[in-house]
Amino acid sequence: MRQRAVTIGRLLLGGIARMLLIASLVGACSFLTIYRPVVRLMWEALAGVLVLVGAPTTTLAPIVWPLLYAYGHSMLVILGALLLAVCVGVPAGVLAGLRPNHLIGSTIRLLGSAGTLVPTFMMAMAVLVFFVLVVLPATGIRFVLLATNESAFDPRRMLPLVLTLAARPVAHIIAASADAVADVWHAPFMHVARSRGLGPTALIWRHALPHVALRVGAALPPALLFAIGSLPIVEFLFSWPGVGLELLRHIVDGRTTGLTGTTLVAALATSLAATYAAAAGLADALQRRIDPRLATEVQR
Amino acid sequence: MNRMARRQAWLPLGGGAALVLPVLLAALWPALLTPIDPEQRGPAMQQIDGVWWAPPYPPSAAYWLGSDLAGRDQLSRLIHGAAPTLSLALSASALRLVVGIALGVVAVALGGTIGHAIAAAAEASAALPPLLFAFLIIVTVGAHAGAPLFIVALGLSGWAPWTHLVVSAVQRLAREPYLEAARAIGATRWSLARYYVTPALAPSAIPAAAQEFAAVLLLIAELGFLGVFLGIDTPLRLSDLLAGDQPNLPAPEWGGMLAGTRMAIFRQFWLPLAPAAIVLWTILGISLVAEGLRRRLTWVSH
Repeated sequence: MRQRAVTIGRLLLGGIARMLLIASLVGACSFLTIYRPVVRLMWEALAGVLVLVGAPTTTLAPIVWPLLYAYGHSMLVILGALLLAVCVGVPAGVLAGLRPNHLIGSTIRLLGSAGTLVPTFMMAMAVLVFFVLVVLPATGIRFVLLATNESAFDPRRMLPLVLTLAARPVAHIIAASADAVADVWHAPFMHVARSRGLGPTALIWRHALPHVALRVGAALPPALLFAIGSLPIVEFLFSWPGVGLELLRHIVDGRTTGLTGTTLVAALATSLAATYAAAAGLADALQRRIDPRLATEVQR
Repeated sequence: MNRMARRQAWLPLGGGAALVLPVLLAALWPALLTPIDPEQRGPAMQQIDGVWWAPPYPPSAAYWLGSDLAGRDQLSRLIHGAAPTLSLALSASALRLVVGIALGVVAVALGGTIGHAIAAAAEASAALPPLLFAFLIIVTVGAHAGAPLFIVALGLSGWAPWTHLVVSAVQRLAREPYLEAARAIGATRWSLARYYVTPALAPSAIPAAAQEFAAVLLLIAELGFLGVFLGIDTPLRLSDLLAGDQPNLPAPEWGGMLAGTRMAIFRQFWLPLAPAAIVLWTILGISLVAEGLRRRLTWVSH
């Protein structure tokens, strides 16, 4: 009898809960449909995409050309920053890893940590002040464009952006390289190599650098993500017409209204995300190809 | 060895606490640190070190960190701006944690298609810069919507690492023999999570939470630098900010104090430098606390 009452109670409660759920869903849907016509907006967005897909090439031109122009500008400075980070970070990291308790090693590590802590806009302002107040009077070359109405491409203007964007990747790569060297320097195979008469330079080139390359490869996608994340601030500060600044301009100036504007903003944002995803996938695939341990794991 | 490990943990923890404590004090009892009203405007002209100045006044005995364009004391505004800025950062980082961990738990508990969908959403979210995401949401909806909008925009932009942390930690722990043993003796999912997974996650999660707070604080400063800040009362125009026009700053807030200071660095260096320095100070303090906590918790768990 009691069990029956419990069963009926449970059924009743279940029924009430289901009714409440349906009622709240219907209420929410009708509120959203009346207050903000979500369904109509979604249909309009879908119709817009369909129109865009079926549009002739001339309709896509106002989207494709600004996108390529901005993307090209951004990729130039990002690739430059990553290249600089590898060129500076790997030797510095190897040195720090070889001499962990020496003044040089500690200083390099400290500078690397500072690179990760200092906010990008502060780093950018420091670089801006340096180029305007020190480099410009000394060389007479305008590396920084303070005015916003000049848009002619000048490769010299890349330098301050590359330096600013490279700060954090350098820190990542220093840490990765130093850890890699510190891990393998006293490994048994290094002792064997040493006992066979290999000098320090040969040890580094033949045995330590492959490990460093793996760690640096793994550190590059996060470094790229940091560089991409810093693009809006850095491009804004240096008036560089890349994806970051174009996105800010389009969002703030309300150019996002209309099909072309909205699609361009979406395309600009997607280009950044796609670049990161592609780079991360590429780095992962390369690592699996280079590292025999990972390759074996995949085969298993 | 133990004493050395303990000292290695206490050193950054103590250093970080020494940096963070004054900021906390400013956030909790601002009137204790400064008697000057942050809205009090200085005279139209003032003689400083024998030179007549119009606002913004440079750093001097009267204004330790200078004044803003309206002649208001920068130090006092920084002290009074600590509470809104830090509470915004705290709320947004808490939302990031809640969303990230909840989705991670759902992905682990349900697995299958839902788990894959959450993992894909986390990948997509991680690929989009948080600054752009927050900027897009706040500017599109309108910064006048206030703190709730800022919390949602900042909180929904950086949850993905937390989902990854939960999923990867549970996947790693699931292979541990002691967890298998616990399951074999009949431990429920709840007790596994309560007694095994949570203590194993804590050494990495607690410092990461502190780092998350620092990351959100940095994001608030960067948004402010781009002209998006709490209490903005005029429509944003990027061309004005690029030209170096400072917007009207109704309430003291660290991000807002950085707005429109792109060109001020050459003329009135104290305008961007003072708020930027306090942001750096706080981030450094929190990072040291996070590092100290990481060392301490790792040492305790071993």
